[in-house]
Amino acid sequence: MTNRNNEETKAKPEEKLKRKKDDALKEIPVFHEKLRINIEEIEDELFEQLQGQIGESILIVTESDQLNLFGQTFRPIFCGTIISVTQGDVTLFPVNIKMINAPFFQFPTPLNIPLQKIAHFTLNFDCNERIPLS
Amino acid sequence: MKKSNSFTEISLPSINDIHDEALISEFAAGVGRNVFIMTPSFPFIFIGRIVEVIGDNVVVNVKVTTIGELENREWSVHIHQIEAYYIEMKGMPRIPELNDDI
Repeated sequence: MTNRNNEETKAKPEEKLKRKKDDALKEIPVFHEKLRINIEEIEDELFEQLQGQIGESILIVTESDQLNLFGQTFRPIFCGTIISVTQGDVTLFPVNIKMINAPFFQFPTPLNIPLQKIAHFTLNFDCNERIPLS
Repeated sequence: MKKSNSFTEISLPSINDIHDEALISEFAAGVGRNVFIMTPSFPFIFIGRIVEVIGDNVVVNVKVTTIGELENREWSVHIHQIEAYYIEMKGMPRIPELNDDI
C-alpha cells in the first residue's frame, strides 16, 4: 500500500467519493493477496535429532495401551533400525515387535511410526535384549 | 485493549501442525499403492490399496482386515489415529498375503 500523491486531490467528485471509501479502508490496512508461509525456517528439532540417528537402533513406545495383530494383542513397543525420517514419521527396518509370547517377532516389512504417536523413545537400544512384559 | 493497526491474524504453524501435515502428505504421495495400517481401534488392521486422501482421512480399498465381513469395501481411516503403517515402496519388502496363520 503506497501513499497517495498530490495529483489525486484534483479528481472528479465521483472519484472523490470512491477515494473516501478507500481512505476509510486504508486506516486498517488489510492484506488481500494470497499468503504463503515458508515453514522451512521453523526449526523441527525432533526431526533433526532423529535424522541424525539414521542407521542406529531405537526403541519406540507409542500412545495406545495395546495394539492387535490378527487376534494377538500386544503392547505397542517397537524396536528397530531407523532407515528414514520425515517430518511426519520415522521408518524402522528391520523392526521387532515385543509380543509377550514372541518377544523377537520380526515384522515382515518396514514400519512407519507417526511422530505424533510416539509417546517415548530411547536411542541405541539393543533389540535383542529381553524385557519383561506383563 | 485497543486493537493495534498492525495487528495481523497470521500465526505460524506449530511443530505439531507440521508433523500432522507431513503425515497426511506421506499418504497423499502413496495413492495407488498398497498399504498396511495398524490402529488401536477395532478392527485394528487394514490392508489394501490407497484410493485417495480426503482432508485428514485416507480412503483404502480394504482387501484384508481382522474380520471377513468388513473386507472388500472402501474404508475411510483417520490418518491421525494410525499408530503404525507401511506403504509399499520399490526395493522394499511387499506386504505379505496375510491370512489367519500369521
